Amino acid sequence: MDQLHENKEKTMISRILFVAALIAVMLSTGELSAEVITTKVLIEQADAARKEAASIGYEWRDTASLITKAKEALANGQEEDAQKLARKALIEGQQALEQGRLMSKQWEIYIPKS
Amino acid sequence: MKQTLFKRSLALLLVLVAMMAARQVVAADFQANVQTDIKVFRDFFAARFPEVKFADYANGVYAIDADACQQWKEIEEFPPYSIAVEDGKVLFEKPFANGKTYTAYFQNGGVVRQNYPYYDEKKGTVVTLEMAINECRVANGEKPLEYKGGDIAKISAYMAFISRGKPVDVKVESEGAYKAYMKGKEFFYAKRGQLNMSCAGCHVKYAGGWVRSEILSPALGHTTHFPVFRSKWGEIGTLHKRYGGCSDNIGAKSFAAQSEEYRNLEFFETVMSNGLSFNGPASRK
Ligand code: HEC
Repeated sequence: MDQLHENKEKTMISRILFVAALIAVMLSTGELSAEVITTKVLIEQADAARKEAASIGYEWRDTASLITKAKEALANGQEEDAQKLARKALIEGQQALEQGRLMSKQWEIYIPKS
Repeated sequence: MKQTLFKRSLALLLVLVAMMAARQVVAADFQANVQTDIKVFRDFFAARFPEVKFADYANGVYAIDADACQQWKEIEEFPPYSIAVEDGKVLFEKPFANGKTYTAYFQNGGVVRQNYPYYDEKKGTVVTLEMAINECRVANGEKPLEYKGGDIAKISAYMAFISRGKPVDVKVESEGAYKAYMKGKEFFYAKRGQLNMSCAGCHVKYAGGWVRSEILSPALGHTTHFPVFRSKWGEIGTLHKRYGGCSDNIGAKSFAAQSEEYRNLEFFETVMSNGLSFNGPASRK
């Protein structure tokens, strides 16, 4: 009887330890709360890249609507969708910017030679 | 004393003459550079389509595609743009609220298609026919029209129709004009959008090739026949509407019709077509 009691206590302690460890890991990687912030920041970064690309005349067709959709998803609590959309928009914004910078340097190489 | 004064004046005169000569050289350079560009552009297409006569480039894709050309000729017997031309005539002749008409603004009864686009030195920008139509309206106390289709395309179609056969001869004679031309040229050759394609990619490099169900037209002659009645649009539309569509197709954000970007692009494309004749409006798929 006593033995059984002792065993129960041990499992209890190990369970508590396990949960504590889990919480510690989660806090240290920031998994719990950081996701919301990351998506918001991602959206901001995407919009900044889009604007910069636009300022040199190279904005892509869908970037702005991706950002709008990401914002909507975030507002509706669809975290994962929002992340995906924001990431896609950010990549588009960055690539458009890179394209514009490259083109302003080398557009002349595409002129047919006489 | 007198001598130094004489020497100084002489030196000053020499400097002035040198400065004027330098300016002359620069002005001549604009012309020369543009002439070289035109020659390279034409030579490219002459080599690509040796059987096509130069004047036929004004017919767009129908210059290079015999089958489509036959169908097009049949359509041209009852051209779908004729109603737009008739509507355009009525709009053109209808007096504004102040009693005046477009004819007071546009000389020669409106046979002026060939004067556009041009670089306006005072405004410091390229003026297109559609822009001038709206300027005329505003000067007469009327509201400007929307630029992509509708009434402005009809008025433009009528003006193009009565100006048929006039030569394309756009001048690039000043520094300002040359800058606008160069901006248009850069726009034309630079790749944009998700597809990383340029106007030149499709309408120079791959001209004559297929994209889905369409053959790509040569850029030479692109601007001679607008506005265009497209069966896809179901109405007559302006050149800048088409520019917007092509930007969109490559996944680039399009610019507004009559934005500076598209006006410079029209300026460049029209300069490349110098020597052809204006033959708008036209019908397209
Ligand atoms: C991915 C290929 C592609 C690119 C890039 C492209 N276009 Fe087009 N464009 C087409 C196709 C297809 C058509 C319809 C067939 C034709 O007439 O060439 C067309 C039609 C046009 C026409 C109408 C021609 C006519 O005779 O009515 C104009 C003008 C034009 N394009 C200009 C441009 C300009 C300017 C750019 C750059 C901003 C551009 N296009 C970029 C594919 C392209």
